[in-house]
Parts: sequence; structure tokens; C-alpha cells
Amino acid sequence: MLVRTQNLAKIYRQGKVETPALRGVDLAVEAGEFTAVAGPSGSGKSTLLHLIGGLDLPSEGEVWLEATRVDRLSRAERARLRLYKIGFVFQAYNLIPVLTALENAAFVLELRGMPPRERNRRAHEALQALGMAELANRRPSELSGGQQQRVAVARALAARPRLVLADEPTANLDKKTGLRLIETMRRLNREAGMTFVFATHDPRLLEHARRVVWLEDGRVVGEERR
Amino acid sequence: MIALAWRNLWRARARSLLTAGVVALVVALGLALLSFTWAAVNGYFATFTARIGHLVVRVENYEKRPLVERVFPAGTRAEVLRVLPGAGVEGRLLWPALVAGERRSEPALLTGLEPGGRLARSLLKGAPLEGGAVLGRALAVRLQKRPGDLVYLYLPEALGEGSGLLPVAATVELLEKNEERAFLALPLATASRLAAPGMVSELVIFLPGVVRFSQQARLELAQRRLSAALPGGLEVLRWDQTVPGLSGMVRVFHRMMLLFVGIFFLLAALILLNTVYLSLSERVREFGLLSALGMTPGRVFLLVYLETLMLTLVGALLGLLLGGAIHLRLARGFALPPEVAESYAEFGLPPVLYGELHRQDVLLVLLFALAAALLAAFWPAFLAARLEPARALRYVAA
Ligand SMILES: Nc1ncnc2c1ncn2[C@@H]1O[C@H](COP(=O)(O)OP(=O)(O)O)[C@@H](O)[C@H]1O
Ligand SMILES: [Mg+2]
Repeated sequence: MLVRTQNLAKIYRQGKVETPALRGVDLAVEAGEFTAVAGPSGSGKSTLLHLIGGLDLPSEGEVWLEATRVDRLSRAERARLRLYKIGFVFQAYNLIPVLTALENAAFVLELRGMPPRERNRRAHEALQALGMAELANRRPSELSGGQQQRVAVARALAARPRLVLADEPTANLDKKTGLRLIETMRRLNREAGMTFVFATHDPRLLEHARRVVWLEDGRVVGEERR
Repeated sequence: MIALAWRNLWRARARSLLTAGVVALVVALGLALLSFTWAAVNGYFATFTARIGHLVVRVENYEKRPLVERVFPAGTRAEVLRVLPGAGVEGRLLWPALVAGERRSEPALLTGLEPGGRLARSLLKGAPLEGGAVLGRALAVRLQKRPGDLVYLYLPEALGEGSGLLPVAATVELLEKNEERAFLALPLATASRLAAPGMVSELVIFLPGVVRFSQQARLELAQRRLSAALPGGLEVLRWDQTVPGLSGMVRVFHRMMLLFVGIFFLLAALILLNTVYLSLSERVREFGLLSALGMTPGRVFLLVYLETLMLTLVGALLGLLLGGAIHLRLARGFALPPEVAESYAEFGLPPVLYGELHRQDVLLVLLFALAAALLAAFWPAFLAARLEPARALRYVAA
């Protein structure tokens, strides 16, 4: 078992207003899965991914990554856990604006303390796998939205984490570009054995998922395997 | 990380440059102010030591002795010159006297000076000593004497003639009015004939090349060597020992200037804080991303610090260049505006001053800059490190 959540609940508090975003989610993800978390906007997809990745702490319940209880770790320990085991791809603003595509792809490896030559080699390979090698020296502002998302995936590929969490990675892309990105992620899942959990509310992307978990109003309301 | 910090700095180029400019200005201003401070201190040093010498030889426990034991042979001069070749040595004889005018007599301190010597020049401001006695203006007024008149002197306990009738050569104004009321100068030869033939109260020593307050070590060395060579019963005092308050005042003055510079840097720190904080608030989402990618709070803290330190370093280097240039200009010699110079000349500031900077001053200014950066970066760095990544990622700039 790679990821397991148990009775996971999250209530956002803003002054006296309480917004329940998750209400008791039990989810298990095995290594090698290509799983979609689907559901309408506001159903709690982002919250779930954030809690699994230790970006936030649950109000109740447990999050396990392999043998580690994520919600019991300190802020710094959670950051370190992400550094070595979890990759993130967000909807937008995935890249550090002042770094080139290559530097962005190598950034996690740099944080891990890998020497420049080796990390650049790996980042370059990853960019190549995503068809981005020619644009390695461009800054994010010189890349299209689809290209930026590819660099973000390349960053995850170069870092080889146990788990990649992608929060609506195609939401800002046009239909064709979005489909190509999902197909590429699926290919990496098959060929490199990377585990993906991605959130989406776009039904067309779900066809590529091997497993779909349906969220509604902070609860799991259904599940499909293909 | 260093490259990242550096590039982040230049995202808001105008703001960063402006802030670096402020740091540069404060560093340059600090250096210029300190250079100027030392110039003024050296000016006063030169004036004061022209009046009291760098070193003085006198009888030990001078104050506690009876008059006749306060003098020593003028021939000691040869001994001084043997130990300190090239030094200027002038004898001075001091003896209490009663000066008789037409209607009243006044007590005075008879001062025997070498005509044409440095002491005579700095004390008498050009009044001719050769023609007889030079009286303090206030004393002359009380005695109702003018140049050309005669005064009668009586010296108690004198070893020499003890009394005499002398023409008034000139009158002179002194800075200290108390001193002026009792001032009476004679050529050293005349004074010693009256008071103590062949004797002096002090040998005042001017060391060639000593023109700065900071050359104290040379004075101490000369003092030690001379003390060892002179016969017993005599002591060698440095200028700062004869007028003990003076060097303390210089130190206080210097510290006050450092305090001013420190206050400048406090203001610079506020501007730095503003810049760092602004650039942070524009990048909340990005800090969320950094955290999501695995940057620990400690490293985030460090990143903000690095950016601030680099910005300050750029500013400090520019300031060092600018301040250095200003200092070099001051070091070649500068004059104060005439109106200012005139009012300060009274207190002994020479017309041309020479800027001077000490290594400690430069280090201290750079240290101030560093402290300003450390101070300014702390709060923003702390905030950035404490950002909740999930919240930061959802952050929409207001
Ligand atoms: N920081 C927050 N403060 C208050 N409410 C929040 C916050 N983040 C999310 N929510 C609320 O929690 C619910 C779930 O949000 P989210 O996980 O973003 O859903 P999804 O990603 O499926 O659109 C929504 O009702 C949203 O308004
Ligand atoms: Mg969402």
C-alpha cells in the first residue's frame, strides 16, 4: 500500500464560518496506479490531494504514506517527505519564473543536493521524454501553458518520487493539449512505473484513468476500475 | 539557491536598485562623515599640540612642589635631542608674578617663551615678543597699560633678579578669558634672568611628522624612550596627559558620529524591510510552490535572508566606491566655507582639513550595513517560512 487515508475530514474555519471540505474519506492507492479523483468543483478534490501531500493537516483522520503517518509530521518533516517522495503538478503557476525550463526540471534534485552535472543530465532526459528538450533554456514566460505543464511533469519525472499528485493539471489547457498531457502522464505511468493520482472534473480525461474515485460534497460516492 | 536568490532580486529591478541605492548612499554618507570627523579631530589635534606640544618634560609631582623646585636646568634639552633627534624642543618658564600698574597691581603668571618659537607663534598670534612683555588684553585693561608703557614686575621666591621694569610690547586676546586676565609673556632669556637663571619649567617637544590623533603609538614610544634616558626627578608627559579631558572628548565625539551613522542605518533597515516585505507579498503563491516541492521552512528562511544580504551587499559595494571617492577627495585637503571656518577658527580649527578613515571605521560601517540587513530580513523571512503551503497555493493577490 502506497497511500492510505482513514476517516479523513477537513473543516475550513474562517472566523465563525465553518466549511466542511472532506467528511470521512477512506482511500487506498497502490504503487503503480493511475487514479483520477473526479467530482464537481468544490467537492474537495484539492483538499484531498493537499492532505495526502502534507501541504495541510486534516481536522480528523489519518494519512499514511507507506509506513509514515503524514499528519503527525512537523512542517519541516512534511517538506522533506515531499522532497524525496512526492511530486506535485498544479493547475497553473507550477514553475519558478526566474529559472529556465531545465533549471525548473532540475529544481527538486537541486534541493536534494545533487551535483549540477548529474541533476542537469537527469532533468534533460526528463525534458526529452516530454518532447521539451529544445526549449530547455526558455523561461516559463516564454513557454505556452501546455509547455509549462510539461516542464512540471518533467520535474516530477526527473525526481522519480513514489507518488505524483496532479491537481487539475489540464484545466488551463485547450482540449487537445490537455489530452496529450494526460496521455504522456499515462505513458510515464506505464513505462517508468510512476504512480499518479490526479484530480479533474473533465469527463473526457477520465477515459484515460485506470481507476476513478468519485467525490461529492467531501464524500466518496463511487469508484470505478478499468 | 544562490542563483535563485540573485535572480529573484532583479525581478523588481527598479525597486531593488532603489533600495541598493539607499544602502549605498548610507554607506557612502557614513564613510564621508567619519572621514570628516577625523579631519576635524586632526585639525584640533594639530592646533592643541601646537600650543602644548606632543610631549612635555617637567619635574615630577610638579604641582606639589615649592616654586624653587619646579624648575630644572635648560641644558636637559641636549639630552632630549640625543634621544629624539629632529624633534623641536622649546623651553618654557612659568613663575607667579605681581604686575604693578598706575593705581593697582594684579597677580599674573609670567610665561617665558622662546621668541620665534612655535609656542610663541601659536600663543601670541604674531604679537612681537622681542620688544618686551606681551600682556593679556584683559590684564592690560585692568592695569590701564598700552603698548609702549612700562610695567613693574615682582617675582616672589625668585632665584634670579626677582624684579624688573619692562616695556609692554603688545597685548593679546586668548580663548580662555581667565587665562587672559593673568597672562604675561616674556622672552625666555629675560624671564629666566628674573626668575631662575639657566632653568626652565618645561621642555615642550614637537615630534616631526606627528600630525594626526591616531599617531598616539609613536608618542607613547617616544615617551618611553625619553623617560628611560632622562635623569631621575623628571617626568615625560604626553599631551593627553597634560590636558586629560581632551582625548576623552575626541573619543566621545567619534562615538557620537558613529551613533549618527548607526541611526542612518536604522532608517536604511526600514527601507530594506519594506522592499523585502513587498517582494514577499507578491510571491506568496510561489513560496507555496517552493514548499510543495519540498523546500523546508529553514531553507525558505535562508532564501529570504540571502536575497536581502545580496541586495545589501550590492548597495554596500556601491557605497564603498562612492564613499571611498568622497574620502579620497577629503583626504587631499578641504576648506570649510569661510563663514563656518571663521566661527570655528576661534576654537582652533585650522583653515585646511584632511580627511582620514581608519580600517575599523570602514569595517564598522560595513558591519552596520550587515546588521541592518539581518534586522530587516528577519520578520519577512520568518513570515515566509511560516506560510501554510496549502493556503499560500490558493492565495490570490488582493
Ligand atoms: N482555505 C479555505 N478556506 C475556506 N474554505 C475553503 C478553503 N479552501 C477550500 N475551501 C472550501 O472547501 C471546499 C472544497 O474545496 P476544494 O478542495 O478546493 O474543492 P475542489 O478542488 O474539488 O474544487 C469548497 O467548498 C471550498 O470553498
Ligand atoms: Mg480544486
